[in-house]
Amino acid sequence: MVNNRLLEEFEAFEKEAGPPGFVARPWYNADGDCLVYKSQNVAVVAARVDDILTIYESAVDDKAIGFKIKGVKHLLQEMGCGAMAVGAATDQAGEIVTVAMVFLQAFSSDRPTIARREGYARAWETLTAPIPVFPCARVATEPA
Amino acid sequence: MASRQGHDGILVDALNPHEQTGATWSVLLPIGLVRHWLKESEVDYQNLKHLVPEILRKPVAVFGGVRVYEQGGYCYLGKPADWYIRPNCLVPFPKERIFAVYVNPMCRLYEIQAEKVEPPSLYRPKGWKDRYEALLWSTTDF
Repeated sequence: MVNNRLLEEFEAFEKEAGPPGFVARPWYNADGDCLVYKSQNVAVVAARVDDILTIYESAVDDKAIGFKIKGVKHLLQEMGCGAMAVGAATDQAGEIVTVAMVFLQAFSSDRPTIARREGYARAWETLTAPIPVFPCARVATEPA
Repeated sequence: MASRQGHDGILVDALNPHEQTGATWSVLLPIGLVRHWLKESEVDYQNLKHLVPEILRKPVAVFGGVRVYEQGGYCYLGKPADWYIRPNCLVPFPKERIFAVYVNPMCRLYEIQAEKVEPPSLYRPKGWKDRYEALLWSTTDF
């Protein structure tokens, strides 16, 4: 049971933010340092593949409908990314990073076991849209 | 006061797992996350609004140390009676699932999700012994 004061705060926020909705696109969650993607507006049950990848299974029919990649900052550092561009998909200083590149970096961080290969393939297949750009650019040179 | 809305989000009272007295501390629901779920993942927003405050206040267990590349962080676990599986579609929460609320070391909520349990327990998330550094708090029947 949620108390009335809290409900009022949520309702005030809803009034200010406008109508609810759903968008199927990869999103970087800064507080969780994770890249998340859901292709359907349904609740999910998390199925861990390894320490980095979690598959989102639909609570309605158990099908894989998305994924979460954790430790994105670490993965980007491994890729040579100097900084993240907030809200921007391009950076004149360097090469664009795509979600696919983050995905591959995550996969290459551990042994390519059968279970991991199957898990990463299952997660990748949930991406129904064209491979999107991740809001980060790989810089040519690291700042001093 | 159970919650306070500020520029950075909504503060919610949560059980402090470092105290065995039932004392509470505040967990922030970051405004960017709340907005994202409202506008782009409505079912998560509804579960955040209707389930999460109760789980943070009265969890069945709280684990600490939840990430490989990050020190600290918390996982609050709960067994809600119902949950939203589609927008405005409230159904009984399955017995063989547990609802997890993840909070980072700065006490900012960042993830909510159902997880499979590890039989024969109905309260322990799958792989719990390998995933977390410590069980910080639990109800006696956990």
